Amino acid sequence: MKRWWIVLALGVMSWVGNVWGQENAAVERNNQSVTAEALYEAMLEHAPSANYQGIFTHQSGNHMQSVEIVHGVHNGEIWERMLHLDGATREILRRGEDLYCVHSDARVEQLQHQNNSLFGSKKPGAIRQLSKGYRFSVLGQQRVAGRLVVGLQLTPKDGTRHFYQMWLDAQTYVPLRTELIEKTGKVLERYQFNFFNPVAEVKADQFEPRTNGAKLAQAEESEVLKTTADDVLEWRLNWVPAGFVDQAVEGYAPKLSARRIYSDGIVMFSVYVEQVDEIKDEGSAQSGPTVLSVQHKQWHGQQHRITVVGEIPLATAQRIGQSVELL
Amino acid sequence: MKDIQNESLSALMDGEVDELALHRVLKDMEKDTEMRAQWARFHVAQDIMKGGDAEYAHIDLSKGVMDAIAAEQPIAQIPQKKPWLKSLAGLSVAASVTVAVVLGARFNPLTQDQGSNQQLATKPVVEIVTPGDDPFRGPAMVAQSANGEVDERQLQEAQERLNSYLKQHAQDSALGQGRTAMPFARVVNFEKAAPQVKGE
Repeated sequence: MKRWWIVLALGVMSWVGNVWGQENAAVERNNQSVTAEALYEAMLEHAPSANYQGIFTHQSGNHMQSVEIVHGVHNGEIWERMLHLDGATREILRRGEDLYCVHSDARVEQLQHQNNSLFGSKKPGAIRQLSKGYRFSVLGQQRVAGRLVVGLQLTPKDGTRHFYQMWLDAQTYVPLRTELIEKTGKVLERYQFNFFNPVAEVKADQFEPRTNGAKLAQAEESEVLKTTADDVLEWRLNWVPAGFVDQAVEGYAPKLSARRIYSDGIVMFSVYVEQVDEIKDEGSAQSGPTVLSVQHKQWHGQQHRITVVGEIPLATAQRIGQSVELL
Repeated sequence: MKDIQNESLSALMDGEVDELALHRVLKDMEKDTEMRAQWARFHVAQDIMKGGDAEYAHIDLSKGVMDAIAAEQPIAQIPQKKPWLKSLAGLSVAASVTVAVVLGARFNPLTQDQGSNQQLATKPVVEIVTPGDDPFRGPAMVAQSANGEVDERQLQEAQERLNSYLKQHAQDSALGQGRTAMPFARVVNFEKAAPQVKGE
């Protein structure tokens, strides 16, 4: 019970802090009042076309890794190269809407095809959708990777999701630190640049894979889209937290039978519904920010396994799973 | 009274007190100088036991600390249950466990503050622990079984299935995150354990 008072007190404090922070940011920007929403939109507009090189750390639970990144605009398209610096080498390459993964044995796997990208070229997280689940606030200024950043926070309007904090580079609007935070203040996941170097232009050879022998070639469309028409089940969710939308309904994802993806503009969860002969396992687990909940329901005398995976609180995942109804 | 206080302090150091007890301990400490001193001594002792990379390690306090400890009751006798000592023992286990997937016919939902191996270890569970070949890798997937009737092949299958869900979700959500591949950093966590969707 008392915890609620602490949460409330923290809320008031952060509100006061926000008002203060907003003033700060406003002062920086020649007394124009800058809202968190405006900052977020500036990020959506400017960050993708920024040219930069850097190294960031990804921290997830107890796990941490460093990744080298090169990002820029090449012939009007967004190109990107990411190289994992810890453990096995592994590269992610973006060529516009084509996306490749280069494994350490130089095997190339195409993850997304320009002609049928899962989410199209949709800009994620339009303010309108995000506002259903979150309140926006400015956090003020900070220093990250030696650079001035402006922070913004997405505060969940209900208890069904986590907090998001982003610290945007004051010059390029690229988020230099992004954190997914639990209500208790525990950081579940963090992306943070240790080194960030914006440049006027990134040369084409900077985007070439570093893994010896890796050759990028466009795969057949059908090979990239790993959807099967088998065991099509018609089902629906009777409960989703406010703001979450079925990506298939939105037309950004193919209508998948066994698996569906829902997004509230920034966070996603996937739901899998499958017919099974017997209950083998049930319950929940967590890996870094991602929870996984497995439960079973019986329809038409047949067991069905419902799996919910996402960066959402466990209680939310369980409630989503419970609300699945086979049609 | 003394024992109860010591136990509360020990629990507090471990972060295992509830809100009510926390307020009681803080109030007691405010009044009781001896209790405050005890608090400080506990910390010193804990630091030393943990291998003491304390901030002022370059200053040789050992004599004073040794004396203090000598003057102290043997720690083992203080609380019946010694949470932070126990957690020290658990530490090495926790550090070596990078992948721990335990699945059973029925396992209970983890509490919000799970991920703690000790907490689970105290319950009757079947555990399969695969120390990762790479300390940077490994989802800490933990679940538990109530009746313990699980065969290994079944566990393996379930683990692979869950890992492939995790990987697929990580990949899908990374694709949906927009025009940077940064969220793909997440996918690598599930990579090795996940069965390959297809070969070349």
